Amino acid sequence: MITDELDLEVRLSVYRHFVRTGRAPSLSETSADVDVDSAAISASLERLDTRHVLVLHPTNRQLWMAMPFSAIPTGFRVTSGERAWWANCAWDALGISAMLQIPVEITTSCTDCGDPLTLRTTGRALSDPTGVVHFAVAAAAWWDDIGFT
Amino acid sequence: MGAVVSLETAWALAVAWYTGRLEREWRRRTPAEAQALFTSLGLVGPFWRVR
Repeated sequence: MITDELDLEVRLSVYRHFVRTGRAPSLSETSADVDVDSAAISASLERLDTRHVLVLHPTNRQLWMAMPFSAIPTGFRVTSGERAWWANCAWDALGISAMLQIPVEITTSCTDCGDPLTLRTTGRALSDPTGVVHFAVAAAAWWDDIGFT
Repeated sequence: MGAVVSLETAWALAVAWYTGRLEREWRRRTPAEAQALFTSLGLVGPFWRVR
């Protein structure tokens, strides 16, 4: 499989896994799903990381983010019925609902006062449009340290 | 400092940004496309300049 095709299949496989399970796939899971050896999957993930299509952890190189999903627990828990995901930020938490077109409950906390916050969507709209989102990092710097952003 | 955006605008941004993300045909936006999207949502000024 040429690399462009492989990278496409890996991206789709990773995202399918996140959508279905709420967590990142292991190398062996993606390898089995795409039917390509783990070394090739690993190389593909590195290319996808370089292109900012997904994000690998800076040191252990494991899947860290497949936006809007986070592979690790964050301050943004997104649930829909029995399904649950971690989002990287408020934008991504809303993005899970918008992308999957499902109603969700987003559980987070106010960055100003620390109080717990719950946001709900119908999948097509916000259930309550009241509120604000604070973007701490200017757009030009988002990818300087995506983990911090 | 940062930027404070209404939840409605954040929702509109999420919809625009992530619709189609799971499709085979999806590709990452170019910086110009991202900038046009931000502008269309009223996200303008130095904070929202992508580069």
